[in-house]
Amino acid sequence: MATFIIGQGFQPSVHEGNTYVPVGPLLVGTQNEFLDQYSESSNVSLLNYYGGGNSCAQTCSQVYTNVCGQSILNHSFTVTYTKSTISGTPVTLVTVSE
Amino acid sequence: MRCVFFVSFLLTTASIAGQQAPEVSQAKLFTYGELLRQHNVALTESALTNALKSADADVRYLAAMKLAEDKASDAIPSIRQALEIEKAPRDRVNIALALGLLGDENGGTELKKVCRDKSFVPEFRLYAVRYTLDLHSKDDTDCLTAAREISVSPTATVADRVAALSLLTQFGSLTPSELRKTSAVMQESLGDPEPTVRMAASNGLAGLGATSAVPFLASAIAKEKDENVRAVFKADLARLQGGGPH
Repeated sequence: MATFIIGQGFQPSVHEGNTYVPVGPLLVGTQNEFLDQYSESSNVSLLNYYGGGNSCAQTCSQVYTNVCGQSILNHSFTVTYTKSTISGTPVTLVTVSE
Repeated sequence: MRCVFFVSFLLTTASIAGQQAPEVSQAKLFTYGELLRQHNVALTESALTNALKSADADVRYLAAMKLAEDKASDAIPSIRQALEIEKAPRDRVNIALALGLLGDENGGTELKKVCRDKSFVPEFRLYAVRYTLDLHSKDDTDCLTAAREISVSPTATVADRVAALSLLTQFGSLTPSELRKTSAVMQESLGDPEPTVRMAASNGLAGLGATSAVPFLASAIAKEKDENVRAVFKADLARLQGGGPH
């Protein structure tokens, strides 16, 4: 569980060795909005590794609550995995849609 | 109140199946304060102002962003000074963003200057494009042009071309002429040698709602040899024709 503060900005970072390394642009927080992000990366092409066919999709649902524990937003998103290549190297593309 | 979801397209990577167990990881979101504390920087205004001169490039822009988050308007002169002498491309655009968030016009001006600068590192030129959109700049033509240039640049990386195509869908209220130009570069990208770029171009045309591109997308489906890319093209064509989810 994570806390998202309205108006707060973020720097996405990934764990490398003993530290977190900033990656990507800053996420700008504005009034009346809070930010969330979905990402996934791997050192192998997952669909190639697991033999999951050319593509697959998974829909997840989540509930955002305020600090009082009251539900403020129900949300579902679909993660789609698609086999592809980048410069001839097999990759699995991950896209997320609402 | 609303929630903004940052949808990451991602995941490169390869390697032959069976050689090693996959290590799957997610990017973590850190607040500027959290990252500054990891660098042992105190979060007082004076400490943050001093941190603008840090030898650590990450600390310099994080300090500027924390000052912006704290609405420390009296730090604007120090942030301007930091921007003037800043050489690191990531820091230049991030510090310019901090100034823009504080309402200082020098921030937006610098971001547009970066958008116009064809010699600037494409990855960070695209940051400038994104930040100009974040700041809801009234005149974002230079940045729209930058995103179009990078999306079809043979010297830009695959990731940059994909990011540029994605950003092109985020410019609101395009004039008919700008819409035609943007649609044209996306149509050109349907023929990119990299499958991921072709898919991003197809997604872009659907995201743009460029119905005039329907014949081009139909033609691209007929020519496309990669089964996965063809499936994406077909889904996007259905979206454009109103038959699929938006």
